[in-house]
This record gives sequence, structure tokens and C-alpha cells, in this order.
Amino acid sequence: MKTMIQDNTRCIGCRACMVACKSWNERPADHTDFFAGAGYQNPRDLDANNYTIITFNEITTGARPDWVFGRQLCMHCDHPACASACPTTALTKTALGPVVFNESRCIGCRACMQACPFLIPKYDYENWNPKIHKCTFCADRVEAGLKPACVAVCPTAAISFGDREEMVAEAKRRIATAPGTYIPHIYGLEEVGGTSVLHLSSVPFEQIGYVTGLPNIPLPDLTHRWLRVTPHVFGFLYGLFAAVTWIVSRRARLRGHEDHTP
Amino acid sequence: MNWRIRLTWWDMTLLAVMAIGAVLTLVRYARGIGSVANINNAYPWGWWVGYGITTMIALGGVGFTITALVEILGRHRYHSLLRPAVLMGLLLYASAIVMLMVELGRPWKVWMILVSWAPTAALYEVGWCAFLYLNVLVLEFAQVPLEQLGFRRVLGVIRVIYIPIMLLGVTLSHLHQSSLGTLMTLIPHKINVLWWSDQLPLLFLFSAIMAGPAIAILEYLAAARWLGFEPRLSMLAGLARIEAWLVGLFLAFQLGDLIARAGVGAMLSPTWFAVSFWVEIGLGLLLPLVLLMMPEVRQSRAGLATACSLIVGGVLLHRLNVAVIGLRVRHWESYTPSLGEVGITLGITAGAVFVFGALARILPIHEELNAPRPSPHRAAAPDGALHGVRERVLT
Repeated sequence: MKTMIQDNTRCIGCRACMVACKSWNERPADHTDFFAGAGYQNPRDLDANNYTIITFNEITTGARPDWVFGRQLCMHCDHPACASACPTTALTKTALGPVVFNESRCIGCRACMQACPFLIPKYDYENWNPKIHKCTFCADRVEAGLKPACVAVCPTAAISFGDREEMVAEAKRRIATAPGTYIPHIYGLEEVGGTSVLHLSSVPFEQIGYVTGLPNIPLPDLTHRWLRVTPHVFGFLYGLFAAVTWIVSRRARLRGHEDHTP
Repeated sequence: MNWRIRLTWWDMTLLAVMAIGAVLTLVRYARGIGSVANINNAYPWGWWVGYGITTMIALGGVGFTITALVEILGRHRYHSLLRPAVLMGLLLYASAIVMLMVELGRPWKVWMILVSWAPTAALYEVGWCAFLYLNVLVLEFAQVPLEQLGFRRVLGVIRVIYIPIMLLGVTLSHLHQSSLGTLMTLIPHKINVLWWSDQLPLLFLFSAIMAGPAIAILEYLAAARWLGFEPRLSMLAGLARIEAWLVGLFLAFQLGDLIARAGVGAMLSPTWFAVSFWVEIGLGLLLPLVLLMMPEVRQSRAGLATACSLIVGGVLLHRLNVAVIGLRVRHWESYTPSLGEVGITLGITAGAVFVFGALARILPIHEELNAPRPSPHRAAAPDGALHGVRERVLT
């Protein structure tokens, strides 16, 4: 299983990852538009044309305000809520780690968007034949033994890519060797049961636009504990209703019989 | 059977609303969901799912609740509610399916659910159960037209399999009504604490059961008024007593669950979430409960209509609160339904009401009206308020 480290302390906000992501995934360019938010960031959020973004967060560290960068992309959960919610298995987690979207199975119910704890899958609502859009972990490149496009272009090695154990060890090593630089939290190591993208930061993650306060259990467990009993409940209820019907109608028949023979 | 009915002003209005909905639907198919709807990346489900699908399915629960009351629990005094209830269930499920065909991004692929194996997905179960249950409803209701058309053999077959099919319908309903709630248990961090509960499957099932008698009473009162028969108020009073119990038990369940989840603070906090919650609880449950506990209300048409409308509105608000209003995502994101979204749902609802009204005049749906009709050549005109004001005839 492959894993990525996004080390926000090394990020310089050049957005080469965003450009590489667009070119590899053949997403069209957008009109640059400043919004009434955190100044320099563009665009404001992920959408159908942007599978990853660098967030620009103005945070006062020490005496002066500073930019602290964060990054949004699909976390490629070990137990993906999106895939578990999909009624047609259009989303699946592959053996190498990526959670991939199979366009030909999608009916467009958008349950994956509703299910995703990280608010990642996006939709092209203006299209008559819309698709779910999200980071693919460059599954095609990974299958071919290459690194994802964003990893390949990052000029400051803020993005690392490798085998799971190696990457977890590397993330822990960085925090242990430079405790002043990092907060002691690997985002994605335990969130929703673990993900294939691990984030490191110098400030608490909620300050740089990450979804925090997530449970550490795999989210599909929440629905699975109800759904797995479905066949048993079906059998039980059918039997129960049949028994009640029989008893009630028999009692009515007997009472009717009594009525007619005073 | 008299196929000729006079179209009234009511029918004309409904047809006009349907036409507007149809035009909006054409725009949606040609230019994408975004051209008519405000649903967006933060709120992928809006009014269409909250009202058009989850509420319609909940209200369609009238089919299985009245069936269970009459056929399983043997309360035959409510037998005259059975046919209207099954027809309403059929039409409400059908309108939910039509809504789904508008709401899905790629409706032409919907059959994929039936050739997939996705037991971890609540929607997969909802899809399968609702599909099977729709077939059950068709079989149950088919008895009425088959009887009229004189297809004795087919009718005989359906009568033989009726009890197992009816049991299947009630069982499937329990499963998918609860699975609609299971769907929402997946996102505890997105839904406000007031509505997210790991008991959502049971809450959704219970609210659908609670909606059943309310819809049945409303339909009976409307039919009595517009088709012109004397409502049997003592029967309605009996059903209203059952409904009062259901509302009270649901209220206790919902509040008890919230208190057990330590949600009292959120309930009393000065937020719009809390306002929406109290409207749901106060107007949708507490007020109708108080009303239905009064014998004079249970005996009065206006009282019953008020209480039952409040209950139906409360179920709608509960579904909206869980799927749309209670959702917290990015702080800058918001969602309000567009006129296009509302227009399409109104069109679909008008369609269901129109078909019900037409069938209620063509087929013997209401036992109270089963007196023989006059000459088949005269257009059927109800005795009630639905006087044919136009000499237009639907053939």
C-alpha cells in the first residue's frame, strides 16, 4: 500500500502541485478570481476542475502575521466512506492505495459527496452528463510504478511518496527530530481509521482549513452495523407478521363462529 | 367502469402546474442540474432529496401502515381506508421515482443498482427494497382495475398470492424506511447533534409509521369533501386515537434519544438549528399531540385536518433537518432551494394528486361511493365540491 506525506512546514506555496495535477488529469484552466477570503488563495475550494489546492492561511506566529500553507486533496481513506456509500460500486479502493472512480458505473446520486468526511468529491452540475471529480492519487501513474504528478514536481520535497510503513516511520521521525517545527499530530494516521495521505503541520490543523474533530473509527462501520443485519431482520419480520396475521385472523374466525352459534 | 370524467378547475390547475414542472425538467435534462437547481458541492442533496424523495417515501408509508393495520392486525373497521392508502402509496412511491430520475445526475444508468453488489451502501438497499415494494404495490392495487375489467383469471392468481405478497410489502417497507435513516448515520460530523443519532434508522421508520394514519385521515376527509360522501367520523376518531399514541411515542423516542446523547445543550442554545428543531418538535409533534388528545378534536373534521397536516409538516421538516438544514460544512457555503427545484417538485406532486383524483372518480376506490353509477355515457361527476365546471371530458 502506497502512502503520501504532505509536509506543510516545507511548503512554499508555489502551487506547482496544482498545475501538475491539472495537466496530468487534463482539467481545464480557470479564470483567476480573488474572493473575499484569505487573500492570495485561488480558487477558494476544490471543484470539478481542481483536484488539489494549496490553502493560504494568514496566521500570527510570534509577533508577525504569516502565511501558513495547507493542502486539500483526497485522503484515500483505508476504509473509504464514499465507496461504502456508493450503491453501484463506482468508487473502489485499489490494492495500491488509491480510491478510484469508475465513470461507467456512476448513476450520479452524489451519496459519496454527502458521505465524505473531508468534503472531497465534487460534481460538475452544469454538465448534462456529469461526473464525480476528485484526486485520483494518479492511480494510473502509481500502477505504472511512477509517483503521483504532484509528488514529482514539488520543488521543496514537501510531498513524499512511498510504502506505508516507510512513510509512517518518516512522518514520526520528522516530528521527533524537530519538535519545535511540528505539532505532534500526524493528520490521517488515525482519522476515520487511517488514510493513505498523511499531513504534517506547524500549527493546529483547524487553523489551516482542515476538517478536524473526526472520529477515529472507520465511518462505514456506522452504517454497516445496521445493514449487515438486514437479511436477518427481513426473515424475522416476515415471520413475525405472518404469525400475527394468522393468529389474529384465526381469533376473528373463532369469534365469528361463536357469534353464529349462540 | 366509467372512463369519462369531467375535468374541473382543480384538474386544470393541477395540469398547469404539471406543465410548468415538465418544462423545467426539460431544461434540467438539456443543460444540467445546475441550470435549474441550487444544490452545490457543499450541499449535494437539497429540496429534491429532502422533500421529493425522503418525505415522499415517508408519506408513501401510508400504504404499508394501513395495510398492516387492516390485514395483519385485523382492524377491519378501517377497511375502507385500505384502497385509498394502497393507491396513495403507489403514487407517492412513483413520484419519488420520478423525482429520482430528475435528481440523479445520470438517471439513464439507474439500473446499475440492480446489477451491482454493494451491501455496505444504504442506498443500495433502499433502491432494491423500494423497487420490489413498488412492484408489490402495483400487484396489490391491480386488483381494483382487474376486477372492473373482468379479468377473472389474473385476479384469481393475485388473490391466491395476496397474503404472502402483502406480508412481503410490509416487511420491505420496514427495511427501506429505516435504511433511509441508515444513509445519514454515515456522517455524524456533518449533521448537527440535534439530528444525528445512531438511532436514525429507527427514527425514520417510526416517523414513516406515524405519517401513515395522518395521511390516511387527510385523504379521507378530502375525498369526503370533494367526492361527496358522509365521512364516518367515529372511524376517524378511532384512527386518531392510534395516531395520538404514535405521535406521543415518537416524541418520547426522539427526545429521549437526544437526552441520552447529551443534546440538551444544543436544544437550548440560541442557534437557527435550535429554532428549526423546536419548530419541528413544537408544531410537528407537541401541538398535534395535544390536539389529538382532545376528544372534540378527534370528532371534528377541521380539528383532524389541522392536527394531521401539522404531523405531515413535521415529518417533512424532520427529513429536511436531517438531510439539508442540519448539515454543517464550510462556513461560507449555503443552500436555499431555487424556484426551479420547487417548481419541479410541485409539478410531480400535482401529477400524483391529479392521477389520484382521476382514478378516485373512475375506479371504486372509496367504499362509501360504491353505489352504482348512472349511465356509462354520462361523464362521471362527483356529488361533492368537484362539480364539473367545464364540459371538457377526459376519455
